[in-house]
Amino acid sequence: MEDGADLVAPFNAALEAATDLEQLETLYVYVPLVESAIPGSLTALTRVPSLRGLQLEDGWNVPLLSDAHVAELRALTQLQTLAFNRVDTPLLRRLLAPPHALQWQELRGLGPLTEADAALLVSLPLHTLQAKLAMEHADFLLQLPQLTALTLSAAGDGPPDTERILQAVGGCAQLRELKLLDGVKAYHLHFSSAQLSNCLARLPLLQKLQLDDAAMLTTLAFLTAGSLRRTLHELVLRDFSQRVPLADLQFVLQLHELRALTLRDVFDAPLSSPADLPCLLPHLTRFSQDWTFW
Amino acid sequence: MLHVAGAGVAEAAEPLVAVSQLHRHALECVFAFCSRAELAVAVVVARDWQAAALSMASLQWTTYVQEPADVRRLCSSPLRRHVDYLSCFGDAVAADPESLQLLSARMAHLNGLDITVRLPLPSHVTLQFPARLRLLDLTLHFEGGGRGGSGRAVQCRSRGCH
Repeated sequence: MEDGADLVAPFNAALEAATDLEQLETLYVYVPLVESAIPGSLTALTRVPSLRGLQLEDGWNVPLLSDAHVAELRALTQLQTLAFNRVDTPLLRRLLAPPHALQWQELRGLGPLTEADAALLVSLPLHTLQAKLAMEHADFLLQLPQLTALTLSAAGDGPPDTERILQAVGGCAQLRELKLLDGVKAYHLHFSSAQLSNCLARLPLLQKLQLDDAAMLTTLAFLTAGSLRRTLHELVLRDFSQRVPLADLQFVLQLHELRALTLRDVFDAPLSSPADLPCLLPHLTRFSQDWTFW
Repeated sequence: MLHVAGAGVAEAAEPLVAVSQLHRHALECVFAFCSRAELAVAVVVARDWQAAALSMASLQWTTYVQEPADVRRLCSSPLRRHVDYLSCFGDAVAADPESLQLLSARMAHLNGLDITVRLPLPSHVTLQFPARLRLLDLTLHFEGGGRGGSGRAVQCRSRGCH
């Protein structure tokens, strides 16, 4: 393996070559960090006014960014997406320390998020957020009215106030995509069917819904909430620890605009004839009873 | 008289030019519905068919290549101008810096490129990308691998979000 110092020049040269591209709008850089650090300088990227996306990856490790690298990232005020696989809260605080001129619209891999961290997020024009909550509520979402995609799970030391969290989610009226990852660990989002119905009824634009590891759902009747029957294009339901009656498939079949559907370990009995689903849902082009990504 | 006769020839040629343009336009319209395989056959049928395939608006194909030989084949194809986004997967292209040089020289029109570059490059190679790229999805791979291997984490690719 190369020593980190040996990688600086090639790394910088690669970024220089990328930044010579005059029409570049989006640059993704995947860097195999050396001991979780960036092996070089990001300064070249400041010369690309149309740079929109940057992804720095180190498997599932949290990057260990030096103060210099944090300063370089904070200087990339043209960036809309800065993606890591994981960002822990100390790093988030360093990146978003006020004052800043950052315009990130997308943040993924955040958490566990405390109230102090959440307060930093509202300084950004976020439209996509993926975070684990380490607090009772998610009231900060109400200060992110432009949010269109949200992935939430809980990872705190105490029980989250699920009712309050779902109220905040329901306040994000622009949401097109919502993933609620309940989880089977000690503290997780134990949302009920009624709570979910109330939340979803307030999301008139929702097109994608994913629920993983739901523990307290007893019915899928929430799928008839609000305008879901007209708006929902993709539905993923997986790994319900409490299975719902197979008869609730009727609620899925009312989603007439559905294009993609994944059902895994949701019902208390196997589907009698899954092959019939495409016939019953006229727009369905993808159906899976197994793993799927979207 | 000669001048008048010349004018007559020119007038007679005008409809032919118009017909030729109409014919070219019709072919282009038909070819817009062709698959890659069909278009590859069409270009060897007749010279005017090939001309139409080369003058029509780009079909903006997304193409995947895995081997340096694929890159060389693509770069020598008359239909390469229809490739808008190129994804090079696997390590074989990454291990062949000449492939990237070839792409830069022959595929300058590329709009998007997903490529792995293995660093450091040989001393005789200068890293250069196709000039008109708007989207560059660049994976840097250090010789011998860094912590976490090449750093490519397929499950987290978020190009589709943009």
